[in-house]
Amino acid sequence: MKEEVRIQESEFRSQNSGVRIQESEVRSQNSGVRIQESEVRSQNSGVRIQESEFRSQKSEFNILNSGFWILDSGFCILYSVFCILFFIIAGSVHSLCLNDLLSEPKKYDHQTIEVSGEIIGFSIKKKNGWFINVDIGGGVIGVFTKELPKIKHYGKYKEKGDVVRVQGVFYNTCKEHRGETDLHSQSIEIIKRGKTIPHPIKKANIIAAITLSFLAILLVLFYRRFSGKITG
Amino acid sequence: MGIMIRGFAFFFLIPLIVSLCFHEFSEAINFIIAFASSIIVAYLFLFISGEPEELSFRSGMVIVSLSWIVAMFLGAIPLYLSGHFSSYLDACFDSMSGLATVGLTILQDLDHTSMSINMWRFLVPYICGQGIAVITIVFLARTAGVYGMYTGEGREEKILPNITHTVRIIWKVSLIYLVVGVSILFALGIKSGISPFYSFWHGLWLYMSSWATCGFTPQSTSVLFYHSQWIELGTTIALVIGAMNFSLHYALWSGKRLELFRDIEIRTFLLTFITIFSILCIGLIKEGAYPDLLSFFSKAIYHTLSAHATAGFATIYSGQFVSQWGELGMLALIIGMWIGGCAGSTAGGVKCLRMGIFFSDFWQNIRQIGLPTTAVFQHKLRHIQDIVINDRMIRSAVLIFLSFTITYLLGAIIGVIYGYPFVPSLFESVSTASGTGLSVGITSKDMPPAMKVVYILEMWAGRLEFISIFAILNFIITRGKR
Repeated sequence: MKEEVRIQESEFRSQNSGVRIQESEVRSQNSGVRIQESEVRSQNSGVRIQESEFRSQKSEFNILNSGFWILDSGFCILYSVFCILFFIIAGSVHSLCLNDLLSEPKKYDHQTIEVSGEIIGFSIKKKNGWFINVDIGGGVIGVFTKELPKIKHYGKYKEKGDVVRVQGVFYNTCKEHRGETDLHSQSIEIIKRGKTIPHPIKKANIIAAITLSFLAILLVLFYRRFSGKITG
Repeated sequence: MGIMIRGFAFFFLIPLIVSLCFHEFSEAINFIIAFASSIIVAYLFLFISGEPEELSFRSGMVIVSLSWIVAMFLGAIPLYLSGHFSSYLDACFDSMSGLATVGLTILQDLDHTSMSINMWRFLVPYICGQGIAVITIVFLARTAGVYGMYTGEGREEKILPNITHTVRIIWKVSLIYLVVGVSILFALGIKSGISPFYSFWHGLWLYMSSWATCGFTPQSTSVLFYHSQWIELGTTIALVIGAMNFSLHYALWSGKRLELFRDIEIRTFLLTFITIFSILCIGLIKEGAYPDLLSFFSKAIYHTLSAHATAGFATIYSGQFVSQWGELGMLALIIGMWIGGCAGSTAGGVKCLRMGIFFSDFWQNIRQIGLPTTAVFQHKLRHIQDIVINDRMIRSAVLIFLSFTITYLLGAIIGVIYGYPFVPSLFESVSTASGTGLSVGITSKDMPPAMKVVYILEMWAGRLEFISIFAILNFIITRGKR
């Protein structure tokens, strides 16, 4: 049945659950339903949503072109409901980057969020826990945790740090830590172990170093021998 | 110039040793390349010019200003070869940022930088905070007429009658402070819960950066990385000491402790600090930036001092200056960076001494209004000793003030031309030319190349306080006439 149902730029906002869908187009062409520009990925049970944001202010659907639901198509309705529920459940724990947090601090402040990234530098012992710094994409954020996970690799010159997934409460200006922007973890999971980064010596650099050193020595010797004569 | 470059070349040996100690052999090769290249360039200059017996004042200044450009290109070699820069221009940007103790960086993936590259990044501002010419005078120069070289790096005051003795005192004091400062930061690092290894190395680098009022840090999130009030306290003390006049340090060391309260620069610094802090407080209250007093004062005091001393350390993300501190908050920091630290220190900006002369002269003129025109006034200031202020001093201060102001505004206009809003552009430009290094996020590897070049020139001109640039202009004009 060639009927087209199309939802463009639909925003589904739900503030309490803290989820957002942005710029996702749900199209159903022919008898099918198609989801465009939203990626469905799976993390734990194989499900992850990227570049889709859930918002929670008002729920509004703009139905363009066709402007109506096909009521007689039970399959389409069920499938759409399934997709929306899926977005809500999976999107509530989607990973954020630092730019997301800093561009809309009021939205995420005191909210439970999930981030993932490489652990950088070293851990710092505090009175009632630890601070680790995690590069979550776009920058590094301090993660405060009561229990330090078993970290084997910290990101530095010779090592790629362990990659962790952190769920916790984001504080734009944390009272406990003198107004710092940080994340108080509820759970930290190591999702990928780090590794040693090799830094092989380039042959061209060795040749350049030898040649330049040889030239420098020659020049110094030449100068010492003839400088008096040159400068008169 | 050859002597200066030769002196500069030997500093590559320190990170070279560090790279060998930490088995960073690919970096070691890069430092050998940089060292050999510098020696070649130095001896080529020596072949061309020879070792002069006596330098004229103007020649000294011209040599210094051009040496900084050559040092930038040579200092960029190990940075570029490290693979952390997408172009040689980017490496030059960071190299000049270190030389001029600015602290802005476009180094990519800073958190994975080697120990030796970090050593080089921090060594350069530590040395050049004192001045390349200063170190050359101490160790290498046996020529007469080095006063031009000394003043060419933005220094005017002599602690002792002899320039060579003066710079030796500067270095002795600097090295004593280094040992004390690193020990304190090491202890504070341990207290903050950092391992002894990192406490030492980060303590060393942070001290070097604070003392030089540079603002480089070994991690991408500046001082925020440490999540420690103790590290903030340690860097604050170091940067304030670094921003104080060296003559004043010497006076205090010589037992003249009252000078700390009588000196015009310290008084001006306190006055401007209170003013800037008040403006910043109004701005932060207006924006509702912090929920409690501890957070509020912790952030406000640290950033006011960091900006005013032109250090550039931050405990917030660069974007938060724009999004959370608002325009008034940014303007407060701009004023602080504009003025800068004390003359004869590692700090940049117009300098508190010049501002002190302005304020004092302004006050003097008001007092004179009600007096007979025949009254004779002697305008005196206390700066280590009593100084009689004359018209030449005021004219010189005005010239430097105007030069800084024009540079700040030109940089801001370039930013606006490239599509950035005015206040952030002005913030970044003032931060660059004053040698501060705070950023609102404009400085990045994706910045247009022309802006990178403009910022490099701003750093260079601001660090040398324009005097050397005027000398070059004078040199070109007089040569042209001949």
